[in-house]
Amino acid sequence: MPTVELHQVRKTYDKFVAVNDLSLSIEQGSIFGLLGPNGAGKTSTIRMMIGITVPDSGQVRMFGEPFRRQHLKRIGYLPETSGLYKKMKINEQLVLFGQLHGLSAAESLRRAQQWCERLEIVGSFEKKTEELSKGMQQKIQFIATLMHDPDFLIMDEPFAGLDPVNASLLKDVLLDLNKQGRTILFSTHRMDQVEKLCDSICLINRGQAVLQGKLKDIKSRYGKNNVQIEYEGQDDFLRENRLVQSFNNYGNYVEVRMAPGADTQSLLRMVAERSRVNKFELMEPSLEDIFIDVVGKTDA
Amino acid sequence: MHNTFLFARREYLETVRKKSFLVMTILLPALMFGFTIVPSMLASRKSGEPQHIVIATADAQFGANVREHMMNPPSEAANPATQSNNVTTKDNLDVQVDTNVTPEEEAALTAKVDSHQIDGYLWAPPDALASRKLSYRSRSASDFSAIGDLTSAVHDAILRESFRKHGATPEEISAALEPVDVDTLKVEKGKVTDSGGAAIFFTALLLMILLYTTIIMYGMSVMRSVLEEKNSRIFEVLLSAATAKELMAGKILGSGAVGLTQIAIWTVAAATLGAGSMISMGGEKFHLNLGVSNMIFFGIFFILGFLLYAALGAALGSAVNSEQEAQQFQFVILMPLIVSVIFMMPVIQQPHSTLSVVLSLIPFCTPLLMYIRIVVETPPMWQIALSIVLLVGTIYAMLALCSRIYRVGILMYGKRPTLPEIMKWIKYA
Repeated sequence: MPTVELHQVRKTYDKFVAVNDLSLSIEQGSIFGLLGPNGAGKTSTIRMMIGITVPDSGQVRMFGEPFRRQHLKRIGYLPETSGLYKKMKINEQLVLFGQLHGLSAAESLRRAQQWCERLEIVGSFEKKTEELSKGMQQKIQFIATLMHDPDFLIMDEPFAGLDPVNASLLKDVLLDLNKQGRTILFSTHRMDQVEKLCDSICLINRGQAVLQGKLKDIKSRYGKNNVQIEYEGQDDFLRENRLVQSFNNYGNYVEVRMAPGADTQSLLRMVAERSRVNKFELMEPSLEDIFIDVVGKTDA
Repeated sequence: MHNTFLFARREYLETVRKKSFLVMTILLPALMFGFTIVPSMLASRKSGEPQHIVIATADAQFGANVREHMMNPPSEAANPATQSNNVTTKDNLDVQVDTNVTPEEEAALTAKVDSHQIDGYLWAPPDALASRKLSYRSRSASDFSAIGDLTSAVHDAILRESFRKHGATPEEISAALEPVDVDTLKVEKGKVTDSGGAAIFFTALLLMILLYTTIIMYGMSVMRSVLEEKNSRIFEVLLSAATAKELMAGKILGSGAVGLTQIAIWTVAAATLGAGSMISMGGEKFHLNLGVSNMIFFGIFFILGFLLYAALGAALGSAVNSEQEAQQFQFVILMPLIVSVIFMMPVIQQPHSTLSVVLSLIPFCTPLLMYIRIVVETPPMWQIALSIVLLVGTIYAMLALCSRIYRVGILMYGKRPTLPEIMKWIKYA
């Protein structure tokens, strides 16, 4: 049974169509990536999922039933930007969020303390939000989302503003919760960050789903026709249209997407002619490449 | 209900812990004390400065009478509340009688005023007395209270002289010149109460200042609090657990509790310090004995007014995106208050006119104007009841309205809503 099902969901603000007849389904126990550039309609979609706004048309089903407010007790939502009271102490704040989700004050306090220990921020328990760094605030927000032990977690840009150590700490917690059967939705424009985590994805652009399904299937569909090349010397091979469809130069190396039907070995020979090749590797396309590819096609 | 309580408690605790609450609680009574008591204290101290006055008249008896009246004014001696002040005042007054009224003496006295030897002199030669046109000459010609005292002293002396010539005894003269005191008393439920005109005006003013300042202060504070939630996107977290209506109701009730706390503190403080003794220092006799029913109405209208304007503040906070924008719309909150203040005097003077009745039933004016009507002349019970029902209904409607504006307003940030858009939001959501 899917945790969330959106069926032909549509939302317009004035004449602007934020979400355009979007359908998607998130399997229970999966990690789902809702991906797309800024302004694609990710947050608008999430808001309709949890009843902050009502879709103009279409249907939202949660835990197998039409959405009801009672479902919110089983959902944890981490918003994109800080949603904490600046002048309120962390412990009071977490207790408030716990109570809003139906916990007692004592139980909320106990859980808040537990989480603060686990995320190594016990020292800031008595402080006000405005006294904490952005990364710390993000951790507090994270705890606030998990206070009521929800079955379905919605994470809107969860790793924004976190250093790699803390990002990995949060990631481990999330993977742990997923192992215990929780369903997780990641919404982000940083596709590289969640690529390794997600089972399934939905790529959206301008309010429409442009690609969705299991990540494995999608990647295999696109095949290994990307090449990563590290070289010293001239780069005029990049302009060889017969072989190279597009490329992305990262400075230290370049990623090349092969033209349809082109042979990677011809490219290797061509590069080796003029330059010194340090590395030549066939790769799965990254989500970003796939996205650019798909969006490029739909826009054209 | 549970969520509303949680939000109300949060709002309450946050506001009460703010420094501005403490400042407001202490500063407002201090300001009111300053505006009402200090000026009259300053005024009485001014007349307490040493004064040296000369009465230049050929008629020694007249001079003595004026002097006697000025040193011991009978009208003020009759008022026990202020007598203590005046004894010291008159000790500082030195009045001399000069029977020389030649032009040379006039020049000499003028020179003395100029050289600060005396503060002023009353020039009353026989021809001036006969035509009853005297002149008082001093360095500052604008000391109206001194002129007033002098005029009444001269009038009194002339009357005494005239009575004496008709053969009246000094006792008969004093009895005839005994001052008259007209007190204003209010008839309420068939009984004469002792709350007079000055007390009505004073309490009305008191309520007005209290309502006006606290509403501006906390109406704005609710507005800012809504804005903060919008701009930091706390609302996304809150709305994923509660409804906009619960949130708004919590905010408004929470700030209502703040208002209640504030007047509770003031009431206790006033009772402990003894407001009566403070007021009597003002030099005017105020009866602050309002009666229990008036105090209850004060509480009701204060709290309801507070809630209404808090709801208005919340609606405003929902509709705008930044404090700068909010400031441009503050007049929306202030206008009904200013209208109430403008119509305060007509309502006090004619509490039963159609204008007064209609105005006091308009919910945004009710807190101030209906209360004033109750204090001045108790209106029919049905009018009071109707005004309260309308007020409560409006508060509830405002709540529904602002939670709608909030729900749609939060989704439109970054763009200032036009009035037609806000109207659309109200229909929507």
